[in-house]
Amino acid sequence: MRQKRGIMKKVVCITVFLFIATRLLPVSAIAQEMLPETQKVFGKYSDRVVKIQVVEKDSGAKAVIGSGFFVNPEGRIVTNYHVISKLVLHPDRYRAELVETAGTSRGLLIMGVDVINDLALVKAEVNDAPFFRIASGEPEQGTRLYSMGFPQDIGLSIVEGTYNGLMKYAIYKKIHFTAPINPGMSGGPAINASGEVVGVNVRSRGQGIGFLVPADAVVRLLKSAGPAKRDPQSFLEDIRSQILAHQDVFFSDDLIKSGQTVRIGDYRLPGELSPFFKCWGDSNHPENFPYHTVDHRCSTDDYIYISGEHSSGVITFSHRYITNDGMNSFRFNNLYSEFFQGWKHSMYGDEEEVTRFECKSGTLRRGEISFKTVFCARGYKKLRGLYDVVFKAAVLGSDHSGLETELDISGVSFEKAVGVTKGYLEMITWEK
Amino acid sequence: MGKIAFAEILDRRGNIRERVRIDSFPATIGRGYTNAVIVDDRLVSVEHLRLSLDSEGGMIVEDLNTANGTWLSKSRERVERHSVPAGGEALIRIGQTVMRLRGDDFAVGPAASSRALFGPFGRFIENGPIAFGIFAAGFGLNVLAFGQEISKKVIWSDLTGMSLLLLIAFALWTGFWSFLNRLVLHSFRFMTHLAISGIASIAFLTLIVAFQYFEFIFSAATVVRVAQPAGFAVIFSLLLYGHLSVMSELSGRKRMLTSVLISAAILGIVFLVSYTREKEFSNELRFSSVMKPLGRKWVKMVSSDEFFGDLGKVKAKIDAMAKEGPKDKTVKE
Repeated sequence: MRQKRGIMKKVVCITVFLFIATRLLPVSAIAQEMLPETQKVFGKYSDRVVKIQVVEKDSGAKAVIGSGFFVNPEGRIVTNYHVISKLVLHPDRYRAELVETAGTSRGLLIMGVDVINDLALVKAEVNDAPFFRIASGEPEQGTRLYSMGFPQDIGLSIVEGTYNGLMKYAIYKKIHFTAPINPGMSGGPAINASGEVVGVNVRSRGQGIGFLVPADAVVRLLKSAGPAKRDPQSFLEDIRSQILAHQDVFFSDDLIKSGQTVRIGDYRLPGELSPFFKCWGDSNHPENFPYHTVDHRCSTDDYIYISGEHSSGVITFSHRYITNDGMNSFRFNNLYSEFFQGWKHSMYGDEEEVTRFECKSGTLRRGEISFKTVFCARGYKKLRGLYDVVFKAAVLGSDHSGLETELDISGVSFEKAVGVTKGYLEMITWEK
Repeated sequence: MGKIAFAEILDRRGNIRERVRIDSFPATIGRGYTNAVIVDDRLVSVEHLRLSLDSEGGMIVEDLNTANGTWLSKSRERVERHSVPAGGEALIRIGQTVMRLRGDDFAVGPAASSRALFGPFGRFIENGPIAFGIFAAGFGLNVLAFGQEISKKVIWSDLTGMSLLLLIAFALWTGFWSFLNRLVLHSFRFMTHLAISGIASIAFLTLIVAFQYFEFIFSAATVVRVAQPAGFAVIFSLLLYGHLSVMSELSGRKRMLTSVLISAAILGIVFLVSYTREKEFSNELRFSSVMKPLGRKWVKMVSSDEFFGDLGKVKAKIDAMAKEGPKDKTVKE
């Protein structure tokens, strides 16, 4: 009798349990469908995103934090070049690591770089890594995307944003992504709801404006990359070749010859040379000064990241037209000299990466116009054959007005720089 | 009237500290108060020397068996007895005191003339109003030159400020030399030194303007970078020479040597600083921006092809600097 009662008790318990379980399951299933999509994406794909850090060898301290993501089970990881640039430029001082969830780290070797698109392919010794597929084609405008990464070294995060298409006039193709990408998320993926990589986090302009490297650049890098190399500096030749190949495409003769011009004072000058240039103008009538100026400035918007102190691939030029409002010729020429002495280039870089500038001055005559000219250049120490150039010219011969112009080009061969500069000067004409 | 002698006690630089007339012989010289010449030197004996006349109009100097002796200054020879011929002199040392003994028959040279230092031009800088006029010209030209640098409409406040600074600089510089003049020659000669400063300021200004035009006409910044400091050094050494000529009794050779050495030292420091600065790394551009109101026909011009065709030297310099670069691996062209 006692035995029967015991069995009955068990049956009731099991029945009650099953009843509760069957009632709860649908609830939990329903509860799962009701979770925000972002949480679902995070839960499903977060293990494919990794934290990358570049460590200074002597002190063991982190120098750079970034993100990356697996693209195959054998441990290939895509990240931004700028995350691991210190390793390429100073391998004696830095090492790159993958930081695992448990806090342990694994070494990373570089397999390939694409400095034009700011991408790098690295490898960790892992097996069966969960990995992302790369989306084929572009999504539709307005598609919701999810960017993942490690912002400000505070843990893996996900932000959702909107795909706004490719930026129309960017030299180096970028996706405009409306989402607050933060420092540290560089190199992380931006994925669609199906978990396919649409782009790679690369930059933010703040206020919810972010930029992604399109996925097709990732595909090209995966195809072109070779085996992992122990010597990161062996990629310097790739970087140099990529920059030189790019300049051949961008700094074509047509850029100068068929570029638009702008009229300032009595002169016709280079204006918006191509849609890649953004131009601004202003005039200045300072009180209590016997002159006034008209300024015009154009610049390409994007740049190639070489190192924290040095970027490349930018063209900027500016013109200043000065009108004399009553100074004698000596005073005016002194003022003109003072304006000419200044420069507007923002080319930085430290002594390990670039030489100092070397300049040549001259006075040259082209048709009716005489110019005082200065050609300054500096070389890249680790990427030999690449130069930054500043060219300045001032029109001579008038005490009533003056025109000075400056052209800055970064990351070109010397011959290309001379050709572009010469063409630039030839665009300056005088129109009565 | 009998012979008169003079005992002149000299300081370290050979200037007369004290002159004592001796008109009675024999006369003694020593530390005691019974002597004709009292020397306040603890190494001199109470009665140290006897000065007497000889039959030929000269003098005889005798040491009076002193502990520290009597020494001839030039030959550093200890003597018991020394003859001074008529019209001659003796330079002797007793204790730590150097003394010159001369008779009234000692012949002195004609008076020196400051005009001889500057030739016929000397009378202008000695003349007060003319000296002031020279200074005023230098001052005025410098203020005018500064005025050309001002780009504001109303420039009086800047001009006044600059004029005041210039005036102070002139005053300090001239005052310094006048003070030295007073110490050495017991007169200030302020206007003379002011005129010399004025001349130098005109010379400096002329040099600056000349080199600016040269740099502009020939695009010769490199030449000017070396030649201009050298030119400044030459003018500065002439400036020092002028001041020293007025306030010191150094020979012409010593004055020139002093001036040249000081100027050369300053020039050396300037070149060293300039060289160090040039070799220092920076992202600055260093080039000549001088422009002058000159017509085209005065300026050396080249064609565009010539200018751009000549950039090979720039590239070569840059490539050489790049090769000095980091010791770790670099990519070669």
